[in-house]
Amino acid sequence: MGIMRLGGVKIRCLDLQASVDYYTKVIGFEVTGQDKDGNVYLKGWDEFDHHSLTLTPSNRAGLEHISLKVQSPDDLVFYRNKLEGAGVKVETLPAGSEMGMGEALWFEDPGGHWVKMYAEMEQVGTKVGALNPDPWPPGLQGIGAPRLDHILLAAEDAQKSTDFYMHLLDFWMSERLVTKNGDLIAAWLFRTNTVHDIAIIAGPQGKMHHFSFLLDDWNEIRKAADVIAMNDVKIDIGPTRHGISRGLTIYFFDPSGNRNETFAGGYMPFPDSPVITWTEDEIGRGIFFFQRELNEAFTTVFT
Amino acid sequence: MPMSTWKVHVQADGREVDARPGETLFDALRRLDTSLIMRGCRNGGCGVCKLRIAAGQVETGPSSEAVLPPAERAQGMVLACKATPRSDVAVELLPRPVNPFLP
Repeated sequence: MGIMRLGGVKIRCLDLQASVDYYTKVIGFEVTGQDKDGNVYLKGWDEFDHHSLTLTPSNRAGLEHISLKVQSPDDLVFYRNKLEGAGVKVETLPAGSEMGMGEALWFEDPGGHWVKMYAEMEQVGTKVGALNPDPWPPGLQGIGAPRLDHILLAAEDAQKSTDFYMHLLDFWMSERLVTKNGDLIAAWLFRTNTVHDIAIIAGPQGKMHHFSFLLDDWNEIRKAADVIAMNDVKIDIGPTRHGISRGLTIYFFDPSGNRNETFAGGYMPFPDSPVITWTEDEIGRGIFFFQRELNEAFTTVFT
Repeated sequence: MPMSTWKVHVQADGREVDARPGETLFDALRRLDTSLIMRGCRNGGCGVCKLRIAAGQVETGPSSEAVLPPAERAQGMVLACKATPRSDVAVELLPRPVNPFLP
């Protein structure tokens, strides 16, 4: 029951074709469809559902919405009641609001991000199939990312957004970053057994810090860095490691300036795992474990 | 028309740098002094490299109206990462964005 994962993100693109080229040739996602409004749908090779990434033409960069997949249509009823009971306005979108997607709930989180919640999406299958599969498929392009992993959202009031995801949408917290007074700067939240599916950081309302693609290990991160550099993709920082989450990472920017990450490693948190706390005086080590200090762009640049 | 080298003049302190053929204002200014302009997404999305063209002509590429609305563009604002000189230019630097996490 409940939310299974971050099912998708819809991203605004200043030059749609440049973005499609980038997400296919550099990230290694494949296009699964395009609708009459010009939205292009993509998925990673190890994802079963029709798409996890939607690219939409826009005159601005940034996030259009996130999508959360729940296990059954009953969950949509449950969360509609729960959200409305807390005074959140919830709309219903008919099936087909995105290619292959069933009926969906549509609401705004306290950080100004729109959320789509859905239970059903056409499954088109992974590249290796579900019967006696190989570990990975031949012919992957670029980084060859298998799947979407997580997103980091900015919110003026990080505590309020975190409460929303934990109390209303039943996320758990793996780690948090706090000021010396104990005020929340950032929170890492999960519904899967990964260290984060959604993270929240204090920052400009409605904006996105990055969204991330999963990779296997440090070797894959190194290969991704080569691909990124060979394609003249603009790097923010990395390859490096996070203290927070223990993740192995590179941050870089898509053709519209939206920050992407490739993420590997981490650990398995559980709902009963004690929350790990990082204090503001250790923010450098927490965010960039090797460098031990922030770069200027990482906590300034949002789209 | 062959691409030319143009002078980029920084209004605040009078320093100049030659922009290489096809080079953006961002790359030219960072080559002069990395502290002049902040390194953000460099793809027209985040807006941290915004400055004003005080004189001269630039060619601009696609940028996000969330950070460079048409009204600002009309006042001569550009994103340095998406502006390539087409003549000698003078630039007015803008205050750097404040980062609450850095000293």
